[in-house]
Amino acid sequence: MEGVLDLLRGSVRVELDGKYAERAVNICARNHVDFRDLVRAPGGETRMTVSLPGYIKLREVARESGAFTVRIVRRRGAPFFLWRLRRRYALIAGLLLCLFLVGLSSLYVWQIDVVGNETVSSSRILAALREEGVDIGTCILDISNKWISNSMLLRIPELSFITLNTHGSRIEVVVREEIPRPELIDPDAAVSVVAGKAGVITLMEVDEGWAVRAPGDTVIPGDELVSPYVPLGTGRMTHARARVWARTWYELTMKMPLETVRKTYTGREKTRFSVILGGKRINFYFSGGNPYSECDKMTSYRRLKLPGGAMLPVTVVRDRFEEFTTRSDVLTREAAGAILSARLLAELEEQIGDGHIVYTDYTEDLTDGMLTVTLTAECVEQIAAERALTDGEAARLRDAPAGQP
Amino acid sequence: MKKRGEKLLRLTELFDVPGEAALGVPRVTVTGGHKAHIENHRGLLEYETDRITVNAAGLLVRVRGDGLEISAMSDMELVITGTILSVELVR
Repeated sequence: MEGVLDLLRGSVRVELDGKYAERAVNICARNHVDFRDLVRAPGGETRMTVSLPGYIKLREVARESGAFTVRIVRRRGAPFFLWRLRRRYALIAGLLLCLFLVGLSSLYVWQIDVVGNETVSSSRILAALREEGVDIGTCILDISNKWISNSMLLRIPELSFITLNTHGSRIEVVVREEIPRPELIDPDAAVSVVAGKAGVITLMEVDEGWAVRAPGDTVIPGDELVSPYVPLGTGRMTHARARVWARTWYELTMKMPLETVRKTYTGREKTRFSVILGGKRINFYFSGGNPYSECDKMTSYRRLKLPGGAMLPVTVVRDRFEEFTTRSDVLTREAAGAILSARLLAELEEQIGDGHIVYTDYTEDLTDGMLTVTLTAECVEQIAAERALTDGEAARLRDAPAGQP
Repeated sequence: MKKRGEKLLRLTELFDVPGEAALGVPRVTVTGGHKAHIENHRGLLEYETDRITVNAAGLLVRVRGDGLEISAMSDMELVITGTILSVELVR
């Protein structure tokens, strides 16, 4: 450790020339000139090592005391090395330029980290920031935290708080997401339950309100199932809530040509590299565009980072082109039918939501090379939907004779 | 004066106070026969490669050995390295 410090701050090996070495050493110690590696040379001279500031002090002490003289034997360390380079103007200019560039680069954003987000993705926040003019390569002096925070809250309503903390060239975007309000049910609001889909009712579970339909009834979308007016006693208006299951029927159709185009890769491929430096892209190739008439292009971005994990504002972009040729291929009717059947079933499952499929039937028709598959299905699903009554409708309900909603 | 010093020394022993801190009495630590650490010295009296004598408040510390060096020294302490054969306290 001492050796490293010596190299950094500089050290001098000196020879003390005087009649009494002990006296010189004691004078040094008394005047707080710290030294080390004191040896008595065979010729009687005393040698010791002092730091560069210690050497300056030692010369003063020697001059004032007059008891000994100091002669330099060896100089070591960065200060002496730099002093030797003082006439190498190009080197000094390069060093100054380097320092200038490092200082200049610290004025630009090298890295943006988003913290505190859970449901809003970081990419969405970064994209919004980019639209606000904050991106890799943006000058930090141009970033107004207050202005950007306000704009970001308007751009992403799910955020309740955002701030940009600048740590050198790194910007830390701290966000807090809005806690969604729970759905409040107004018990006094006149809301009825209506059918969201056409079907035959199989089961009704009424939590609130007055059921105006019963299992076995056929309903179409919009038909009232549960009324908000409860005709008991003097009658009261309520917020109707119910779950109603019904048998529903679907008929879905999809088409597909049996003749398709299939890709065959030739094995020829080409890779191009480019670098994104602070938002500016530098291509390491001359001709743009695709190198083949028919090819796939895969682009990968790799951000360079230092061994400690600190990100650099340099992204290496690799574009890989793979050539392919196309040829016609004819699917068998069975294969095409299986593809369409699977797609239709997936579509049906998406449509029914809270329910299940009771029965399915597929019919196929092949005309002019086009296969048409039709899915007919019966399901049981929840069809209840809430509808708020207008003031007029609510008033009419209240005025109706008891028992006749 | 000497009596006063002895009384103070006894007092520090009574209260278990380290003498080198309270009275500035010398403290000599020898490590493994190759290193001697002397605290509260008053200066170097003699320096040869086979003998170093240090003034240490009321007594002399003489280190005998071979290839002796003063590897570090300040106004309060010094470190002697080399092959140490003996350490004498001379009153």
